[in-house]
Amino acid sequence: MDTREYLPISAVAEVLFCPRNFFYRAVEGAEETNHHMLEGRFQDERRNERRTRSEDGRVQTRQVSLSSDALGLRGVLDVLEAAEGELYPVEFKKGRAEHRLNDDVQVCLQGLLLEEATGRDVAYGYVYYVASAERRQVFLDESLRETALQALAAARAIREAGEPPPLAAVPEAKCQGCALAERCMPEESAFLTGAQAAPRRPTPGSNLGRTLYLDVPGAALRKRQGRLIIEADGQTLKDVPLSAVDQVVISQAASLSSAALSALSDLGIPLYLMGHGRVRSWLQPSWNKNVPLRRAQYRFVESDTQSLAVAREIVRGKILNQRTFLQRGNRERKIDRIQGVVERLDGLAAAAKEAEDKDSLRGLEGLAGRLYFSGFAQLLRAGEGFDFASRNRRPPRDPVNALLSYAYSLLTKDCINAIIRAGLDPYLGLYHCERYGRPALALDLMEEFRAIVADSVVLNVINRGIIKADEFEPVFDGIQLKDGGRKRFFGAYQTRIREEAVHPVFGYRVNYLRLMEIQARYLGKVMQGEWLTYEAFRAR
Amino acid sequence: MEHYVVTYDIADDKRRSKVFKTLKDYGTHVQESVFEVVLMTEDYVELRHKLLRRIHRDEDSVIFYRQCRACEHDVERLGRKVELVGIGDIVL
Repeated sequence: MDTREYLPISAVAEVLFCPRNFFYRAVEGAEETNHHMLEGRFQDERRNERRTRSEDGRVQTRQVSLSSDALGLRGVLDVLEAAEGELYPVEFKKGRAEHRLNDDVQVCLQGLLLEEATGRDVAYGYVYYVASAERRQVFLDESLRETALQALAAARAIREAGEPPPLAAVPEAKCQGCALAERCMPEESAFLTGAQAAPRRPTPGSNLGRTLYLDVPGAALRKRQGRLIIEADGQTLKDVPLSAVDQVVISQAASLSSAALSALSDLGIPLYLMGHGRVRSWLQPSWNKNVPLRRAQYRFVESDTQSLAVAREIVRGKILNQRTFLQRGNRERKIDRIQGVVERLDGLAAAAKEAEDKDSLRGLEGLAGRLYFSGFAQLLRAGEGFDFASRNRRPPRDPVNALLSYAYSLLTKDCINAIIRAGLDPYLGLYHCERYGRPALALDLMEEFRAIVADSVVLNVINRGIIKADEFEPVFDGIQLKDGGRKRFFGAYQTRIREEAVHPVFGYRVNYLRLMEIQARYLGKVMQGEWLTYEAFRAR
Repeated sequence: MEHYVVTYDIADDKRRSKVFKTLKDYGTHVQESVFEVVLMTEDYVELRHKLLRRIHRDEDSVIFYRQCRACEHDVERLGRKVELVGIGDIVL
């Protein structure tokens, strides 16, 4: 048997605790950890600083690796102990003593490996509970051995099937605080299958969007211990712990040390290089190993019917959100022309739902865009000196278009991040599939957030006078925002993505950053066939 | 996210400087032997682990005072301003 096929004992014991957890870890290669797991790992590390010790007649050896060809199983014994002529495994758990079948099975499987390796009978083992400092003896009787082998068989069957086992029932207490909850989405899955009413609001995710935004020409970014040091003109500008940063954005020529780059990538902190109002390149943190999901993505985008269904929903969502955005802006002013545009956008959204193919979708999208921006122009406060006739880009030729382009490029990086966190390939889109070399799936995801997030920031900074019309400078044959304005604009964008909105399907309130990630995972679940139909984010 | 005031009293100069350097990677040095750290629970667990490995448990002491959401607002700071890291964006 190929050694890669060996199942780790800890994963097999997991099957009894939660089969989905086993699938994500053993098949999809999930590596998400939470503080419980980390604490257990660190306790191991501190214990293992001494490899062997003996006390009151017991000799302990730590970290003993064993494997079995016959069982296709491998494992590491926390402690192999010898006392009174017997040899047995001791498994450490950080919590308080309580009887859990999966702990018993873990000790039992360790015992089986030990029997095979030594040729001796192992009659019992122990689980040691750190929090309450007690040992519980586990007897390896016939019925436990049978249960352990059944768990092993069940684990193999899940791995063969290659898709997550269905959620058995309503999410249990153990789902709260599970390291894989962001990936598994148990509350939402149970809601979609009708097993429970409204899903609970998710706990804050692991991406808080705390951004180091660097817009200083000639700055140098270096690493010192666990911190980032930003220097300019020989002065230290800032000294920030890496633990306080979730993302780095650089929008001027800067120098980066390889140590800093390694640290960012090891810690999963993405780095985006912006220039001329777009994302020019990015450093992607270690790619999530989820091959089954990406295979599903490839199959999905190859299927015309499946990808068209999602593309229709994406465009419909985009148009409906353009409509909602104009409606909100027009609530006080009641401009008739905007009301007319709103009604026509409603019709176009309905048409998008029925579109024959992607080309006609693109036609509808273009038509809606022109109408929408004519309405958007009406919402700009007169007297601020911003004239806006229509959308133009590459390069943008007037201040409003420059701001729109800049807002979209900030949104693009957050959508790329959401797609990558969900384990999908950002370059393989299902609607933006006509042009190579662009992060097409991120652009697909971005459509439903354009008006509500990006356009909203632009309207806000203009109408509140946060950015003035004289803060632009010509570049090449276009125009761009000057330095100080860029920082203020970035601040306004960050404020927006931290504002909350209600998810149209799940009904809970989360911030836009989290919404993008939920939508990216939604796409993934539809591609894997776990959830049936994609629903775009629609603002209320 | 967790917010702690961390105080330490370390008997040996070399170990004290190690503890200081470790804490600098996680938060803000606000006063002599006092740090404030605002971090994710995972980072907090990692910080505890690193400190446990550094200190001598019979002579040194490190104390974490947790600040709950409500008491964060009940803190009054006089004198020079200290900017805490870990809360929001850093725009340069």
